Amino acid sequence: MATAPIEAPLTGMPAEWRDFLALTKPRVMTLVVFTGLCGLLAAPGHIHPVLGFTAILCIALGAGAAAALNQWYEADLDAKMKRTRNRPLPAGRMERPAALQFGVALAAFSVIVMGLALNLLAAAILAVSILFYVLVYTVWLKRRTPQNIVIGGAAGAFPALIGWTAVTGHVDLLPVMLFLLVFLWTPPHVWSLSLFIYSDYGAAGVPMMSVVAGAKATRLQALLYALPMAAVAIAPWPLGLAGAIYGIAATLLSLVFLGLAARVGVSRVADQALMKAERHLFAYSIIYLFAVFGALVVDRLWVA
Amino acid sequence: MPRHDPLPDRETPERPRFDQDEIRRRQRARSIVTALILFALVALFYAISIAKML
Repeated sequence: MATAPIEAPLTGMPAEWRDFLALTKPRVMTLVVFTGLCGLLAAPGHIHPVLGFTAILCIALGAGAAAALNQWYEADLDAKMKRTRNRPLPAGRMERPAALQFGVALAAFSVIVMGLALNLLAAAILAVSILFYVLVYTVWLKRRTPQNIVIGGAAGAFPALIGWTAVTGHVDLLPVMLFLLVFLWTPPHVWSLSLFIYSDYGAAGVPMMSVVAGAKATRLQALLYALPMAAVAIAPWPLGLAGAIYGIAATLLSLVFLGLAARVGVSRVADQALMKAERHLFAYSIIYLFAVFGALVVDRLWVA
Repeated sequence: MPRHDPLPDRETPERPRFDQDEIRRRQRARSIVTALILFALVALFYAISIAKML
């Protein structure tokens, strides 16, 4: 792979604090914090609000640490993609060691505080999620296989499990199903994005499904992952883990998701600028996850 | 086309004045943010200690 055209940092010029904040990918963190909060609110039992806030803070800091370490490792890739070339490292606004130190410090801090304030199981799962994202997804899979996002998606599925465990101290079936839901949601979510920006991934040499297997196979696989995702989303209702409010909401939301995924599945549009179905699926997938998790919390609080 | 003469040695800056000011501005901003974060953490750890005792 060609050497990355990273801008040379200004020697001795300290990075702005805003660049450290940007390193944590605050927008991605929103979804992580939301699913973590929903896991925490849906869990049975009571948690002191201060400890609940601390748990969410640790989840957010852990996600920020993983994002910082990801950008530290991928500065060369980020420099090649339009979407990412203005990040602090490829743009030369920060030196790489600073990003590494920041990421490691944030990761250690979030895990230690989670262990001291909440419980060791929640801290252990948080540590695993950070290591999984950095080592398994970023270092191992991303540049090697088009299945990178399938396995790597597990990293983003942990927050709900961590939120639940922070309250209860143990793992149950419902948070495992929430984990599975995010795990199966990730491929159609990311692949729909990769379809309409595939030239960007291609330029960077990332073996995304859309680059390696082509648009037709990617569309089909996105639809195939949406099917078990919908089943897992609805399953807590018939299994008695959630009530009718959640069941009806999850069913309706999943049917719309499947409809949009089917449109993507049968689409044959080749021009990235004209890929409306893919853009709609990507946008809806974000709303979908917020809505399904939100419905679960409303349902659990209603029952309580 | 007029030719630019190189800067005389005595005028070659070690670091432009603009850089020095920018470095100080960034260091000051980072120090303020760090102080605020540390203050928030002290308050958080205090609140956690109280919450754990209840």
